[in-house]
Amino acid sequence: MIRSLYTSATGMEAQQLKMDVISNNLANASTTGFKKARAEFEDLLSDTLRSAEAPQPNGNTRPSPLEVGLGVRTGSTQRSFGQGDMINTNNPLDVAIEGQGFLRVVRSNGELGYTRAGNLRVDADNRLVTQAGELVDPAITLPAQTTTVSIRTDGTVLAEVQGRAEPMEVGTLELTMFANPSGLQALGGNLFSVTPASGTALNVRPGEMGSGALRQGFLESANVKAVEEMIDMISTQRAYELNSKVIQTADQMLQRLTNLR
Amino acid sequence: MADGLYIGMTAAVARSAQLDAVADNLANAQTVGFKAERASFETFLASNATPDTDKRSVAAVATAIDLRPGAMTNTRNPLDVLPQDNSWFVVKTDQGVAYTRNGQLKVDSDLRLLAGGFPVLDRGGAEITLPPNSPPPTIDAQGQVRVGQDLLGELDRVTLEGQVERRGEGIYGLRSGEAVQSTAAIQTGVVELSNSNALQGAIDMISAQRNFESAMQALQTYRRMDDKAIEVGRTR
Repeated sequence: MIRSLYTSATGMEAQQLKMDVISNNLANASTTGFKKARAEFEDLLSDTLRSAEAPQPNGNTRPSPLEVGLGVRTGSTQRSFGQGDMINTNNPLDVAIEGQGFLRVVRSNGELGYTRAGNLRVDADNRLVTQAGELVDPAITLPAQTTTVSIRTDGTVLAEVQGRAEPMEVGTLELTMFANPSGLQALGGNLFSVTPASGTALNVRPGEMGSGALRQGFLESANVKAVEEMIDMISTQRAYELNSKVIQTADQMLQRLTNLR
Repeated sequence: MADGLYIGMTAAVARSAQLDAVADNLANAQTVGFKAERASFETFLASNATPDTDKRSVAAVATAIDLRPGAMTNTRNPLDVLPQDNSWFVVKTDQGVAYTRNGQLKVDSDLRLLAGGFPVLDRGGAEITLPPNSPPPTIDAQGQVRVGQDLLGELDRVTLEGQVERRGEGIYGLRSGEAVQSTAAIQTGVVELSNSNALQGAIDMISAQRNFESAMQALQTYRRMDDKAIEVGRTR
């Protein structure tokens, strides 16, 4: 019975963590390029009260043991890299990736970062940067008198410059793919970095090997589905309540036991 | 009279074991691939008793694993896979081959495909390792893991025919019997939720508590009777 007190406590802790993950998902429901996470649980090893071979009070043995599990523990949180919805913004510097690739940027510390948020802009030096000011890799600089920018689905960036009839090619946006995107480390600010578990970066042109075509004038919204999160929230709350009920029950039983004297 | 006290005690002990099992089932209500356990009880006679003395004690003697499938939920994650027909994935653990229904596949730092935290095995009993420089793998209904056009292996799945034992972390083993290879189709983008049922848990919890209370009531009654007996024997 004392065991069930602690077992239910593990259950309540697990539900708490799940609620934290859900609330983070919902808080980011309108963050461009956000990928939702989920908490994953594992059951704890069982406590064997009586092994299968142990003799019973009546001298016989049983084919199955008496073992009671000790609750649950949080295994990990896992990010889901499913595609988010496309939102039409008509902004020429917004690009959405229709596939599994990531845009590559140079972080402030000089290392590479990867992002799904394609809300690009132009910095003071006319270079393409992300919302947080990280340079797109390889760097793309627009000519000074650029009037219109168009980005083709294969990543080619064309600039129409004042006084020139033909648009000029100024660079190419590249995409990066990973064998296991879930293994990427989230850095915040929509950025991810490579880890041993993600596999090494595979740089490709947009559209190659399922990396996805680029859609100019669109943004990828978060892949959080409000309904799913609400359902998860309800079931998490109920599971939490049930676990606290078990603690109450065990407490009442213990109370009954102490009142015996 | 002492007999009654001990019989009441065995009942209370058995019911608290039942509550422990319920607590575990409910703690794992959200654990993917979890299988609920139920305590079973049996009456027994004291070793020196004859069957006609009519004093039977109770004990929780065994826990049985409920192997029915849990509800499924759609995740659309390409690495969430689940074999149909209640068959199991095969994984390699330190204690040898084991089985899991937790098909939330992950990749470790050696780029091995893991199920339930352990390397998942293919039809030939080998681990499946992703090439480092590649797009994400895809898994089809036959369990074939591919990167682009290259086949990395076919996920093994088996049906368990025998006594299943729980090893924790979503891993189950076979105490006896054998695992038979199956050709069950594999669904992708779904996970199997815990089969621990909240209603069943709540009812088991109430029944454990009420039975415990009646055992306590019996113990108290015996105590009062003992008190009376002592009073009778007391000299004024």
